[in-house]
Amino acid sequence: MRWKIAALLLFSVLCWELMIRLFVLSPAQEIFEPRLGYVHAPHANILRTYEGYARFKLDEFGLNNDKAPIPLPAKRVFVVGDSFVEAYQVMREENVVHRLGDAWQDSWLFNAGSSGAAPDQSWTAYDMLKSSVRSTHVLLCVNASDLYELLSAREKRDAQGELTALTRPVDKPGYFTGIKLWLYGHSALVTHLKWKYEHDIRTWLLGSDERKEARKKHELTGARLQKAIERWRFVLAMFQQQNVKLTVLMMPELEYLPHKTVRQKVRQGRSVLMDEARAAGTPVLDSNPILAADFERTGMPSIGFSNTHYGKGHINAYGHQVLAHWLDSQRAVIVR
Amino acid sequence: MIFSSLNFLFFFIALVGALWLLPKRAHSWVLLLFSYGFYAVWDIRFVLLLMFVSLVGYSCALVIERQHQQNHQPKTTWLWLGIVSMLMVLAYFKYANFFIDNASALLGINAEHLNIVLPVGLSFFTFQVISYLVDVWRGDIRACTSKKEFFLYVAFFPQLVAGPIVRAKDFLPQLQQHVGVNWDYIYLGAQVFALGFIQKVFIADRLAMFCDPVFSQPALYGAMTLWLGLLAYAVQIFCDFSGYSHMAIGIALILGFKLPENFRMPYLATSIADFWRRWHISLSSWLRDYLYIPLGGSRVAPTMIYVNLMITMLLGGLWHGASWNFVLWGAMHGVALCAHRVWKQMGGELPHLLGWGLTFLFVLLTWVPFRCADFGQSMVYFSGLLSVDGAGDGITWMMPQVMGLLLLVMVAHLVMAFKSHRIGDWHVALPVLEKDKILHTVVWFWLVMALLVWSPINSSPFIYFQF
Repeated sequence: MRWKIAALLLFSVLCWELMIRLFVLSPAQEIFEPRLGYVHAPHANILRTYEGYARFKLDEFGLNNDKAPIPLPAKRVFVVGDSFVEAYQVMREENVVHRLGDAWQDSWLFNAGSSGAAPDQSWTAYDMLKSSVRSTHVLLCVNASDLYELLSAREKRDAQGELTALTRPVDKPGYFTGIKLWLYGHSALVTHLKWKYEHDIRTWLLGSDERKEARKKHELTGARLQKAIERWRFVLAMFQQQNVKLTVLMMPELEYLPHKTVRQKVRQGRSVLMDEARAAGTPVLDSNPILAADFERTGMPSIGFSNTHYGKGHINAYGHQVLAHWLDSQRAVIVR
Repeated sequence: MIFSSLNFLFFFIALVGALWLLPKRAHSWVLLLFSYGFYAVWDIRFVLLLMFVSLVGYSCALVIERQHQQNHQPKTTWLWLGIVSMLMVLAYFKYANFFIDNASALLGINAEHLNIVLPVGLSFFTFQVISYLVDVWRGDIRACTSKKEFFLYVAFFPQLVAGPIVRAKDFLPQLQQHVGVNWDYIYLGAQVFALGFIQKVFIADRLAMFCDPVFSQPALYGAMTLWLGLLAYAVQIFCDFSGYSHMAIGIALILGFKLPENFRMPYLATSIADFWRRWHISLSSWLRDYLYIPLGGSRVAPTMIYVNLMITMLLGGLWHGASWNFVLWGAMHGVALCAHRVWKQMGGELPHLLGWGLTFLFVLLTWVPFRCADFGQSMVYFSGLLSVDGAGDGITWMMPQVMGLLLLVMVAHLVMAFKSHRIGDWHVALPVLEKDKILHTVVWFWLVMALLVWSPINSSPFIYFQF
């Protein structure tokens, strides 16, 4: 009887694994990368259904791109940022980078977005991929909280005290992380349960990180503000030294209000990042007024999904379409 | 510490372990200790209030009992002392700021709110003590002579914070013949608990993810979304409260106690009177036995019957919270009950399906003031539903999971409606598994997996905790 029960339970686990692979998500297939930590493995299959719906295969770098065209066009735009650029919530052909790629036939747009990436990590991604992508232009996508995120990077300074590098502490894969990684790489069930409960269990065991979250909402002042600005300037300078044409795109932060009205959130990070980029001679595009005006005209929200919550979370397929349409009109700025 | 949390799991394992190991004579002490511990986790200061309420109920009942023995019919002094004490506690903690608000508005002054925290479950345990005092005064039951047992009756943790409102005559005898922890009760209790857990975590919490934003900003959404939100809330509040009741009944069963059932498929009611026989039964029967009947019930002049009905429903509404929205909700139900009575007396009959449709639509609409934050928001919601003055032209959000769950709940209701003549009885609703170990293990495993995979990440507090 024990063997029967064990066999049935094993069979049940396999059924759940199959159901999750078919209907919820594919195994994360994460690999360890010494500079970025855990990243998606090359050619991993992605299936996500808990915010929007998306199913596609990643490229050889573990990023959300089709195969690179051969030969590469003369204009190659490296689009980098966080999960808003990565766009795992919509089908690839619906995301803004892919749409622009379709519209700009003489250019190649490379999506280097990665979930949770702060500007310094965007720079690291660029630095790692520059020889493969050989981009001529960079579209660096940021949002207000990136100013605060910059503060969590580690810095290196030279003898004169000048900032020379920003790095991130990454977990070294030990014995247990090896097992963990294998499970995440091979089991959709484990990956799903990890994403769902890891934070809660950690909070339950170690206490809430509310204070850390609350700090992000406060305005930076004094030395912390100066440090964040210095780091932002450093990231901009690193891109500018690369013989590529850099443009900064501010991602949308909107609050939808009754009767087709909208409030554009103006957080400190937003204005500081935009002002500093402009001061450094980098063109800045702000998507907030565009998406706000579109909502006031059409009443269709660009942020949020019918299966989660409109107004919260990532850009939906419609938002990507609006954003792509507007960025197309800004082509002369981006691919100057 | 809500029943669907990890903390509660550890608490409950410790309690069952203690009951298992200790002799039966220690069980009441263990249960009392754990019940007070359970309450202290919410707010340790209010343990004293719980003790005070219990002590007043215990002492007043003993005096009434002594008067019974001496004169046959006791004076009402001690009964009123007990009742007024309970009402004073309720009035201070629950309604003081409501009175201040209304008095300020009437007098045109700007009075400050008192800094009062509402003790969780206050409305439930004060009502239990009132029913106990009235029962002793009426001579329906003898006063409890054991402090330990009476304090446990008031504080018994499965029903302490959100009911069901248990009558002393149903609970106290179980303490004297406590069966202890045994496998038959554990087996049945675990299944009833699982049913409640599914209702709460799998249905109510998922629907809350949609209802909360829709009800917090109704002007933002289109009419279709508002209708879906209303339907979803109707199912959410049913599954939340019925889920809590099932979990409470299941936990009590595991501990060897039987609690009364609180719901009998209320959304299958074919009239508003039928609805109140099926919804929150322990409260509706409490209101009937301790308010409506003492007011004269149906044995008074016809006009007074309607007045009694309105008083009962208005106070029933106010019991839910210190807000005019709840008064409005109670008033709507009161008017409907009066109208139903008039209709019945005129010999009116409706086909079942039409009766069901009208009742359901009415109950649905009454959830608007019940759920909205204030009167103004309720009006915004109603305007949006009816697309009045350009309202209801906002975002159309039809959440697929909500529609799927509503369909599931509808199918479950239909199955229950046609499958069982004892509609809504959890003994029937739940497919009690045969004691086949293999099937049993596999079914439980699938249930746990389904909850782990599909439940929302964070469980919201039970709606009725706020009352």
